[in-house]
Amino acid sequence: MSSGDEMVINLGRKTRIVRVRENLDAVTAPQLIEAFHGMSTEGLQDLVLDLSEVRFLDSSGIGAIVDIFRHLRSCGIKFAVAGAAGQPLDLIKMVGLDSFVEFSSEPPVEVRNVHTPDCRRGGGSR
Amino acid sequence: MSALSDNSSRSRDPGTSMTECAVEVGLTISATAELGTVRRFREQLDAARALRTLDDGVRQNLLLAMSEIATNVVRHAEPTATTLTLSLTREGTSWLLDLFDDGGSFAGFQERIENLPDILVRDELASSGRGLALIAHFFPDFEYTPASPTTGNQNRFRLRIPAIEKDEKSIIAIVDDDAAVRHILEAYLSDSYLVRGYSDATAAIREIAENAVDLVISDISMPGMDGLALRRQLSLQADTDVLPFVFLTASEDLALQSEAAMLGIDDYIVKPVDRQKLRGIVQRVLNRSSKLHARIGNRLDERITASLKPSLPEVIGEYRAVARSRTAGAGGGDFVFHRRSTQGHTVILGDIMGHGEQAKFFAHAHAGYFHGLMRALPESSSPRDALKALSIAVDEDEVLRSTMITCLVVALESDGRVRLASAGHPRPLLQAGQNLSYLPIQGILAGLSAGSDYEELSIRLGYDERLILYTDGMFESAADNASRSVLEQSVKSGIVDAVEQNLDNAADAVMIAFDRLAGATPKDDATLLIFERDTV
Repeated sequence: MSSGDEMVINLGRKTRIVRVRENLDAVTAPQLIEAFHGMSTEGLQDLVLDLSEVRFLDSSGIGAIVDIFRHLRSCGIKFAVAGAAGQPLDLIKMVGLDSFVEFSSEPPVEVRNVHTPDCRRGGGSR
Repeated sequence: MSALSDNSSRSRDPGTSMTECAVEVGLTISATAELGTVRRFREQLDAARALRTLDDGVRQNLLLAMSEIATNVVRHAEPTATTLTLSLTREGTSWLLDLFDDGGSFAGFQERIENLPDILVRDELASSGRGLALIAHFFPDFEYTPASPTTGNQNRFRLRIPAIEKDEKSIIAIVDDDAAVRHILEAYLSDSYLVRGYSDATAAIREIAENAVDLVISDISMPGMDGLALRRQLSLQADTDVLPFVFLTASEDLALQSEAAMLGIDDYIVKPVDRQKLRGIVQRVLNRSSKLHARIGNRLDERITASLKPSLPEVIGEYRAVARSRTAGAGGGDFVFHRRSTQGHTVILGDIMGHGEQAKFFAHAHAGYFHGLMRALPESSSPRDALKALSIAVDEDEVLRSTMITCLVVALESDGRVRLASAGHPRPLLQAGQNLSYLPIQGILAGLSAGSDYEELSIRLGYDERLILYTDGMFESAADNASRSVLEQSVKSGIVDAVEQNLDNAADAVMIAFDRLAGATPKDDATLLIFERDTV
């Protein structure tokens, strides 16, 4: 992903948290879909999309979240969206995404105090 | 690369229609039509000074809509667009955001708009295709004009945003335990109003007591305190007893509506909420409320201010004088006071600041108090002495201390000698033929610090010169910052243009310019005093 939008992937045993920065828009949405589809074959049980550092979300981003949710469900992987605030939170609530995708406005606990530079990889990394 | 100009002086092509009526340019950017450009446009639009005064929610909606439009063009124009141009211009009381592209025009666009999907995303529906629905949701009046000579042979998307500044919007409290309903109502209203959402009535009462609102829209059926109890509670409190109130109800239950009507509500809205109906009701209720307030203010004004209406004798010693004033429906008050002094005459122009009917009442009470204070001063008092006395009085008096007073004291003496002292008052103007200049006199507001002292400015007024005093309402009574600047320029032009007319006609000409821009009910009292040396 381009500078400022890189995904930080925190590796756990069965859980992975993907953090997007700044923008989840038409530029980053396809990359996010590709990244999640890739991770769906790695034997994970839970995947969390952390939006706590996203300042702007548009319909492409909403579409990406819906696509990821459906794909992971078909693979039997639990998916949740966490940490949205401001404009992204307003849009998520307005379009009712929180009514069927597991959603928390709090950032995922696992990420808050974890500093794992070795686990950081660029967007689309698997 | 993108070419950017922010607050440039005049717009340019593409789109001649853009330049026909636009009066102020906020932003113009052109760049290659690609998704990265959409993001850059968004960032530059977000940083545009022109939009800083808008409510944050409106700005966010605008950024989102612009992104959706531009993304749509980059992805779907056939043949592909090569260049995108974003333009933000001011037209009257609106901002116009135009996005031009040189790609193929969208055929059957109107039909698509009329058959847009719901903005709500559902599990079973397609994950894409909601961009246009979002644009239409936030900006239902958005326009698409296929390339034509009137748009510089480019396709044009246009969004129109009311240029209402944050602090000028009416505030609406929405009370509903259903977050989705609160968000929908907020989306329907946030371009024109500041909206505060509350999930329960108790929180709403607490917040409304701390931060006043102009209208409450409340659901009737809520867990805990319901909407009917909320209305009763608000009607028991002095600050909120006449607060406009609209009920939101999920049912056509006539008994419930009858109970609600007994509580003296202004209207009710049946869910699901229709955007146009909601906006119509809100506008009507707020209009009715503000008219009622203005009427109360006017009656109060008529009864209290008749004896205090700013006026001056036509001749004051060696000077001719004229006073003109306009009174706001609510808010503070201006006063003018004249008395003889040992050196000639003293004229005092004051502005007691405040907002609302109570402020109006107190402003006039304070003006009366001030008259007494000035009368008690020795006749030999200089402008500086008068302001020092006022400052001490304001500092020592609990009632006066609660107000903000600006004041200008002018001693009109023999041979055109004029001495002035100012306590935070707008600088007077000196007119010499076509030239208009501010006199360099200023001082701190009365009562701001104990023992305030004031400088005096002494000038000699020529026979071909006029001294113009005014209160800030003369320039500040317009609806927003841009209009204020226009009002100030128009008033100044009026003064210059009327140089050949006698004092009365000149003052009338200035007030005509003022009325044209400030409207029938200006936002603040406005007073204009003009002096010239009497040649007779």
